[in-house]
Parts: sequence; structure tokens; C-alpha cells
Amino acid sequence: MKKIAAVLIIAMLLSVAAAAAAGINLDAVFESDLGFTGGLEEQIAENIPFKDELSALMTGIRYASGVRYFDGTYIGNDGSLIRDIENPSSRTVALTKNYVLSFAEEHHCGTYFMLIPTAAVIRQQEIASYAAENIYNQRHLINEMYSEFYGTLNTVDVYQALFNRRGEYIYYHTEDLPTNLGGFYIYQELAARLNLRPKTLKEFSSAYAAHNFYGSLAEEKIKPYAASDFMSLYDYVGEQKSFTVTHFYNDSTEYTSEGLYSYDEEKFEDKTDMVFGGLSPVMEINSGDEEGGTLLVFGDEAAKSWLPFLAVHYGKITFVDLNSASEVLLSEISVYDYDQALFAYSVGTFASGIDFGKLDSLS
Amino acid sequence: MQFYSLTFLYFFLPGALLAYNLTQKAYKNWTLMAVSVLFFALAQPEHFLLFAASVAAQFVFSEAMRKSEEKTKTKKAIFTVAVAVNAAVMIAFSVRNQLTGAEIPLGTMVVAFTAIGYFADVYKGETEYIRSFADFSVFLGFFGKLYRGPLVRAGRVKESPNRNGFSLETTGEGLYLFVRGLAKLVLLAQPLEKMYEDLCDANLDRISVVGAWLSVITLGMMIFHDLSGFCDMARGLGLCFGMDLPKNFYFPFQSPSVTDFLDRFNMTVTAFFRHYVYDSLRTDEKSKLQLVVDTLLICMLCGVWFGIRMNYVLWGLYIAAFIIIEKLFLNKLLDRIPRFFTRIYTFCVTMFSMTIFSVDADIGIIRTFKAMFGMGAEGITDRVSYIVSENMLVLAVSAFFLTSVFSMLVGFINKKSKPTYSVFAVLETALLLVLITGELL
Repeated sequence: MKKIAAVLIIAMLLSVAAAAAAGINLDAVFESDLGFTGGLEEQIAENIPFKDELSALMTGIRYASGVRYFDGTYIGNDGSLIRDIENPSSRTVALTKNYVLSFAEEHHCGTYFMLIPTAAVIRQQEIASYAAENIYNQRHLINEMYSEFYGTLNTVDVYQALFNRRGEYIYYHTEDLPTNLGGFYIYQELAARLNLRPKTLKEFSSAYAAHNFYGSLAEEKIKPYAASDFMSLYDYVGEQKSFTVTHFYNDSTEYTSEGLYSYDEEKFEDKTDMVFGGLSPVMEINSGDEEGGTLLVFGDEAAKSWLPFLAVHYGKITFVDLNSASEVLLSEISVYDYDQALFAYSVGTFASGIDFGKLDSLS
Repeated sequence: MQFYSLTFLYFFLPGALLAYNLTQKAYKNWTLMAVSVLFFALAQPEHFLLFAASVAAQFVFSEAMRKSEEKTKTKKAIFTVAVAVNAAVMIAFSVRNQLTGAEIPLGTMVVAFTAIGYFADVYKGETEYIRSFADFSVFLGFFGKLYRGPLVRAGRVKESPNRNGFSLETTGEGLYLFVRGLAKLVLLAQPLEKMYEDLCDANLDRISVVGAWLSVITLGMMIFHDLSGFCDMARGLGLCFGMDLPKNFYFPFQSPSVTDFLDRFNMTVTAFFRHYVYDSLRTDEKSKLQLVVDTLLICMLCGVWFGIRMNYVLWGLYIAAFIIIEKLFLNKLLDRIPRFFTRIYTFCVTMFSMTIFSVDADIGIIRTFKAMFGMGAEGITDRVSYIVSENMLVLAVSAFFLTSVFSMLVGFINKKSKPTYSVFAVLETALLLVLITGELL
């Protein structure tokens, strides 16, 4: 019997070794930055049979034993996945200040600046108090930036509005973005600062557009412990507008679609792309309202939550993603064509850096 | 590549076993030497030449002593130089480690101590010279024991059945032992080390009663699982490669006295110092002063085994103080007290010793001691609660494996039914392999 046991133990080792060896890429081993042994270890780990299942098993054991922090992501009490932001460098803060102030001084349209806090600070009640204490203080950063702009340009503070609604579904559980409901609350604060009359939620009809989906924070191994998401899309029920959304790409191609939303859920891996069909380096939203004002927005993915509401108020909104737009594409935008300009970023995007240097390419 | 890597577990080990078992008996140690050399080259290529030169130099000393067997003075001079060189190497690397934080090359302490023991044995004629370079290299530098030992003496390492040909049962038993050791290291010691570091940070920030106690207990468990894990791996590999290496730990934290603790903790090291230092110094006079001096010396050296640091010396002195008190006054009392209470006494004393062993200069022994008894410290901080909540399972399992309960259960199964034991061993190995692999991914 001991012999059979020995055979089984040896067989276990050899079968795993054989299965892993079959998939090893020797070129990757020799070219690895980690050296030969590091590269080999990496290749073996990559090719271990049932790798994903093993990884999920270990995560399950850790989760069951009380661990709630995996590779930079906290699993909240309600199953939401919360990721802290990078600490922004003082250089990032200084550069932003300089570029935005220069922009405001050079172009005499009304310039607005908005930083949107992420779920890490608004929904920190979902994680352990010690972990919450160590979350980056976004309130402090927002205050610091706003004080730099005080008296020069208009700042939009949405922190308190979101914090007051923290018990509602204002951030996706598995995506580091506000939901469209969260976007509505952002829009209300923003519209008031832009001297518009904010619409109420009753002036929009909502419809579930996507159910039970998981966003980019839900890596395979932590997905079982994450709450799924759903998405509601909001349509203005007042005066009907015929929106067209035109996407401009760096290779000079463009694509125009009717309406603010694309309801074909299956078409989008990232369900939040059902809004505008996703973002592009430059995107123009026309409401068909010739009398409406014009707004130039520099922003990020968070715009998918609040921009549809704001679109109701304008004839034309041009959205620019400075990190992905080429300088050639930007040179085709004339700031003087716009009544107002808005810088609107999630604190997370802001902290990881925005290529504000490209503002010089605008005409 | 280290023991605790997928490369070693699934490729190096099966490959080495295959090479070893395909070699004829007369050449097995040459193969084992080649395997050890390859292991070192992959584990620490930057120190490979140093390791090779060290083993070669020891062989040169050995041969020089053998050839001077008839010339007493020359032999004594060579012996003195050999011991001095090894001691100097240990001191130099320990001091460098202290001053610069540079790691001590793999196997330095084990090779140097083993060599000193060997030179002392052959000098006194207690063992034969090892004349084959392969045999000598394997005795000193067998890759299985390079990390934490156990310390072995020439001529006293028993052979395992694998020495004479492939034994399926012994190989299976060796792999079983190796996987259990690896599990102790990867699943218990390494998470405990991370927890200990987190607790030190937390205590440095705001010390609390629970934080202070937990850091000491965590460190005690971490050291035990780390050392005994490496030792189990060494013993397992020894069985696979023809050597029956000695045990190094026997549930030290459930010893009924501190004297007993030292006999169960790092046993081969204690035995080494007892043999080479204590026995050499022992006189017929059994005075109390002699007892005190001998105990202080042995315990201090047992501390220095971990490195030449004031902490370790103080740890040795602390342990020695309790052993002396026990031998002079307490033993009779301890004999009368129920085992359960004497174990609690020993557990507390030895766990306290970890405060000295580990003392973080930034936190300080006194501050930790005071905090453990609630002086100048709050009950528990949010941060410590958080660390505990994340490590409940590893703490519980580690504490369980400090005791002999599981070992007794396995022993009971083995005694009652061999087939059941075999099934149990296979299932346990499979489960541990799954968990280890998952952890190493």
C-alpha cells in the first residue's frame, strides 16, 4: 500500500510537470527581464494546469478567512469593488494648475473646472475602518486645486452632493465610474454652476439597459465575491431633441450615430459604452438646437455618466480626451467656437496624469 | 530558484531524483554533488563561486590534516587555521549583514558550522577523514540542508534505503515529508512573516496591548514554522537522496520546562554546541558556578547561530537565565505541578523571549514589554483589528500546528492501519500540493 501511495505522490508531481512543460515558451524564458530562473518560473506558473481554478481557490480561502483586499482592490461589505487612486505628484498638481490657468487666460470663454471624487472616498463606509482611514484624501486634493483657481475660473464641487447620496447606486460595483444616477447628481451641481436650470430626475425617463454585468475591476478570481452591476439609461421627456453623436479618430476617420445611447447590449464588452457608443479622442454631440449654446469639454470616462444630461441644454458639445487625441486632431478644434469650456475629470484620472500639454495644439 | 518555487517543485526535484536513481551506487554522490552545484548556481548565482571555493577549501584543509596525521604540531596548526577561517567567514558575513543589510550567502552558516564540527572530530580522532571529494562535498553542501540545516556530524548520518538503489517507499515518504515542510513554509511561515511586518508597522505607529502580544506570538510561530519547515524539507530530500537526516524540532512550544525547550528547539544546533563546546569544557567538578557558566555559554551560542547580533546573544542569555533558575531551584516544583500548567509557563517564557529575539530598535524591548501589560498602550487599534481580521485563518492553523495534535493523529492512524495511513498521506500530499501551487502562482 505504501508503494501505491508513493506512486501516486510521484505521479502527481510528474503529471503537473508534464502538463506545464508542454506549454513553456523557451524564447520567453531566455528573453525574460527576470533572468533565466525568473523567466522559467513565470512560464511554469503560466502553464500550470487549472491555473485559474487554483488562483480562484486561494482567493476563496483568503476571502473566507477575512481577507478583503486583493491586488489593490478592496471588496466592500456590499460586494462593491473599491480601488484607491494613485497619490498625485506635486508636479501633476502644479502642471495642471499652470496649463488650465494659461488656457483660461488665453481664451476668454467661461472656463470651468470639476474634479469628481471616486467611490474610494464616497463609499468608504463599505470597507474596514482602518482601510478607509488609509484611503487617499481626495477631498483635500480637490480643495487644494480649487483654491489654486479661486477667482480665476469657476470650480464645480460635486463632492458633498455625491457624499449625501452615498447610500444610493451612484457608483458601479465593479467599475471605477459613477453610474448614470451618480452622473445625474453630478449634472445637477454642474448645471447650476454653468448658469443653467438643472432638470429634475422626473424630467427623464429611465430604462434598464444592461443587467448583471461585471466591469473591469472584477478580475476573474474576485468576481464570485463582487456584486454585479446594472445600467439605467435616462432620456429627456421634455422637448424632443434629435441628438447625433459624431466620433472623430486620430486616423482621420469619423463615425456618426443617432441618439445618445446604443441599446444593443451584446455589442459592448464594456457596458458603460452603451452611452454614446463609447468615447473617442474627440466626440461631437449635436442636439439639433441651433439656438443652443456650445460647450467644449475636456474629460475622461466619467463623462459617460453626466454628459448625456448636460447635452439637453446645449446645441453642440465637443468632448476631448486629451490623453488619446492626437495633436493633429486637436488642431482642428477652435476654442473660439465655444461659449464655455469645461475641464471635468475623475480624481483617479487626474491623479494618474493628463496630457495637458496638448492644449497648446488647439487653435 | 528556491525550494519554495514551482521550478524546484515540478522540474528540478523530479529531474534530480531521476538523475540520482539512474546513477550506479558508486557514483551516486558525484551525481548528488552535481545536483547540489546546479541547485546553488540557480538559487544564488552571484555567490556560486564563493560556495564552490569554500567547499573546495574545506577539502584542502581536510586533506592537509590527513596528510599531517603523524605531525602533531602541523596538524594542530592546520586545524586551528581551518576553524579560524570558518569562524572568520561567519563573523564577516554576519557583521556585513548587520552593517549593510546585505544577505548572508546561502549555506554559509551551515557549511561553516558543519566544517568546524568535522575538523574537530577528525582532529580528536572521533571520525574518519572523508577522502572522496564527492562524499565530502555532499556531506558539507548537500543542497537540501543549505538553508537552515539540520547540522550533521561526519560518520553519524544514517543512510536511507535509497542509497543502495531506488526505493519507492522511501522516495514516497521523502516527498511526503518535503511537501509538508514546504507547506509549513509557504502556507504558514511566509504569511506570518507578512503579518508580523504589518504588526511591527502598526506598533511603531501606535502601540497597543493586543498589537504587542500578537507581534511576539506571530514571530514565535513564524520562526518555528520557517525553521521546522526547512528542516522537514531537508529531511524529506535527504530520504529521497539516500540520507536519513536528524530531526531538528520536536514541538518546542509545548515543552514542560525551558530546559526541555532548548532540547526540542533547533535540536541539532543545541547538540552541536553541547558536543563541541560544553563537553570540551566540562570538568569533573559539578559546581553551581560551572553549571551557570556552561549554560550561559551554550545558550548564547545557540542564539548566535541565528547571526552575530546583540539581540540573539541577549535571547540566549534570557533562555539561560531560566534554565539556571530551573536547575537550581524550580525543577522540583515543576515536577509537582500538573503538565498543563508547566507547559503554559514554558510557553509564556519562550514567547516572551521572542520579544528580545525580534526586538525592533525603533519600537524597543522595554516599550513592547510595557505595552504587553497595558502600560502606555491602548487596548487595540483599528489597524491591529484589521490585521487580525485578515489573518484569522493563518493564526488559527499556525497555532494548531505548534502542538503535536496532528502529529499524534497521523501516528495513531499509522499504528492502527497502514493502508489508511497511506491513503491519508496521499490525500494530504495532494491537498497540500494544490494549496502550495495556488500560493506560488
